Amino acid sequence: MKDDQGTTPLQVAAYSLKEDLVKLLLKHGADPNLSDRKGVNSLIAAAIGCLKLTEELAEQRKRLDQYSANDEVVNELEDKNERASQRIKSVLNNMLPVIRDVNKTEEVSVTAKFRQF
Amino acid sequence: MVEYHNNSDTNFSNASVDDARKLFALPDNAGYTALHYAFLPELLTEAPEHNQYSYNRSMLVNGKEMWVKHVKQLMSKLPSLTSEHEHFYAQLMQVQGIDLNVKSQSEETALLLLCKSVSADVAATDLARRLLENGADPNITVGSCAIFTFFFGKI
Repeated sequence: MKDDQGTTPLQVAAYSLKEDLVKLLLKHGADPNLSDRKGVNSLIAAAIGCLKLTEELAEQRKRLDQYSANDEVVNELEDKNERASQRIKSVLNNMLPVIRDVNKTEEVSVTAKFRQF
Repeated sequence: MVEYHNNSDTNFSNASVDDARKLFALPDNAGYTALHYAFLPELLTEAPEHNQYSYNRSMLVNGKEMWVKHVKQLMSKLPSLTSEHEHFYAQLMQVQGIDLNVKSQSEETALLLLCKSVSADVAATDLARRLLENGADPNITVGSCAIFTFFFGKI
């Protein structure tokens, strides 16, 4: 049912780094190689999701450093970082074996943004 | 928002599977059907315990109550399809012929709504499993530009 413009549920789940949903969709035959009209496949969507999450966590860390947060708050952020790292690993580990072209690039400037980061 | 809740075309006293199918296929102004409402992320968020009763209470908000009432009323008249103790989602899936890939005006399927859902991973995954096991297409795409904003809004 590809309409060559759209986005798939797997791309959205990958972007949100929902590991269980990604696994489930792949198990039911979701194709991670499908790209939307901007050339974004599920792997790129996951990468964008990683970038977004990492940026958010870095921003939170920066704020904590600015305000000399107590240990409890810092530990909470460390836990968040750890969980985020696990989610990222899980999503990528599930996706990579079924991606045909890991070097595929999107047609918008997302890669440039990654390089800056 | 829902304009057809007073529609008397559906004869509940002679409810049949076919009636149920028709009712489930009725879209509201935004093109959402009963299936979409069942999986709307906002409603899931409002019912974190995610049991049948809290879920049903959540459905009875925002002017959707009459429409949902009609859906439930019809289902209650179909003994082969429903019982008091069955989970609402299980009932939904038992309506033969319901189109699990129906798109709203903004081209959202129930499966896509779940993937965008902010609800807990476990709840969303369980509902997605129900959809996929009953024939929802995992490779269906949405053509709307809204999703691109979703992806690239902050990039």
